[in-house]
Amino acid sequence: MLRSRFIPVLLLQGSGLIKTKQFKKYKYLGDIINVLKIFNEKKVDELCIFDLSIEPNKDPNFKLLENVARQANMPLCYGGGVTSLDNAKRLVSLGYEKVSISRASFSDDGFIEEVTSVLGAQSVVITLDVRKSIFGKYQIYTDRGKKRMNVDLFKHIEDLCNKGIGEICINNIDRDGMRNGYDLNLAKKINNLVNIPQTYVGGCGGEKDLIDLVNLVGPVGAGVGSKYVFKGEFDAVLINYFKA
Amino acid sequence: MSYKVLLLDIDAGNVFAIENILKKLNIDFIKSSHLHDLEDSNNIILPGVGDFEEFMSRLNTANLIDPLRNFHELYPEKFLLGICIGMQILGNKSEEGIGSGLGLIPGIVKKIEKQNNLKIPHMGWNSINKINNDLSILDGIDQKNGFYFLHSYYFDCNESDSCVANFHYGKEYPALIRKKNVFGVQGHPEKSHDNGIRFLHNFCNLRNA
Repeated sequence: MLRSRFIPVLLLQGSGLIKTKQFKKYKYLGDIINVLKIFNEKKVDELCIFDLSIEPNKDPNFKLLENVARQANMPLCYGGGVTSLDNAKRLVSLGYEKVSISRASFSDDGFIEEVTSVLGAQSVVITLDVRKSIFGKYQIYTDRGKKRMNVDLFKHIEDLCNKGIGEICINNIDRDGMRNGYDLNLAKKINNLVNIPQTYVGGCGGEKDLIDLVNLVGPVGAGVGSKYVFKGEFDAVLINYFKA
Repeated sequence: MSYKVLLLDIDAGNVFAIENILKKLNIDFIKSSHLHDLEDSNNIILPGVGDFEEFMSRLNTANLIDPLRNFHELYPEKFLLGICIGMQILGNKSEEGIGSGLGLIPGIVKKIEKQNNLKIPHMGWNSINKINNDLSILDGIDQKNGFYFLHSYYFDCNESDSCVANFHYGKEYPALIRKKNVFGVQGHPEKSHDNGIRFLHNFCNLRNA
């Protein structure tokens, strides 16, 4: 039986990893290679890396990413600056099974169709950063939560599915680093809408939150930030891994 | 001849991960896309992610189509393992592209069937079930743990005895296929932790009796 994927989500800033709270920097974790080596030993299901330091229209840090891929034993997904077919192809040939696209999912120039047809749907993930407005409406943000897109979330997801993407990843800004549980209502709504795999990020506070998500929409990808990198009441950095 | 392993590198992904495992296993291997290295090796690994046609065109650029197409006749003493797309191109053709495959294991690559709540692509860790119990390539593999899978297409075998292990996703699909000394694995052993390491170890140690 296909099992759910429990995925450490790592945030790069330069060559270091940080953890955020509601998209604002919270703590520095350390060098990515050191953290990667520990997750190798933990035999994690998948690893997701987002580079927050890539400015618009700049390329991913291929040198660092090659070094990461050389030492990674688990399936990899990378996001940050994937705005051209060449970049996407290069990442796959470096050993990133999946590339994650965010801002470029809004372009109407055929990029998404092109990248899915060349790489195959299985390698194309769209990650959307979402936040609930005070009126309860879900809104998509880009540029690390700074820019609100004037597009309906569910309509955008449907359009992307029609373009042939392989996975949708929802990153919940309000729940980032808060450990108050996944947004289950949103997960249920999206799961009813699409026929592709999904990953939800933002809110995991422990095993129970994983179980709730899996019971609702499993098999599913469950992204975990804080709970895989912190321990204790003062959030000391300690890499750990658990599944549901 | 030397019992060397060739990691066929045609720039189609996942080579680092396999290299790491072969190094860890102390296996004597070479990474290359040259025909003379193929001729000089006993066990050949053909890894791949991506698209069927793209992969075939890369093999074509490396002038490897003909030697591989005639693998059964030219190299009956060697062993070949195709991984993921490297497995799918062992078939005759694919619904994913118009070109033909290597035809080493008779079959057609088809899109996974849409059923109820099943999400496509088939993504993540899935169990496998052995059909053929005498297969040393699966020795020591924890079937329940299985492999990491990532694909929208599957290998539909023409000859039922080509399928030696299944995975279940709404119905049974081939996880491991085989004809003579040619093997194809749908999952990604290079990213499947202990099972994957064991599987590659088993393959690299296959020898003609």
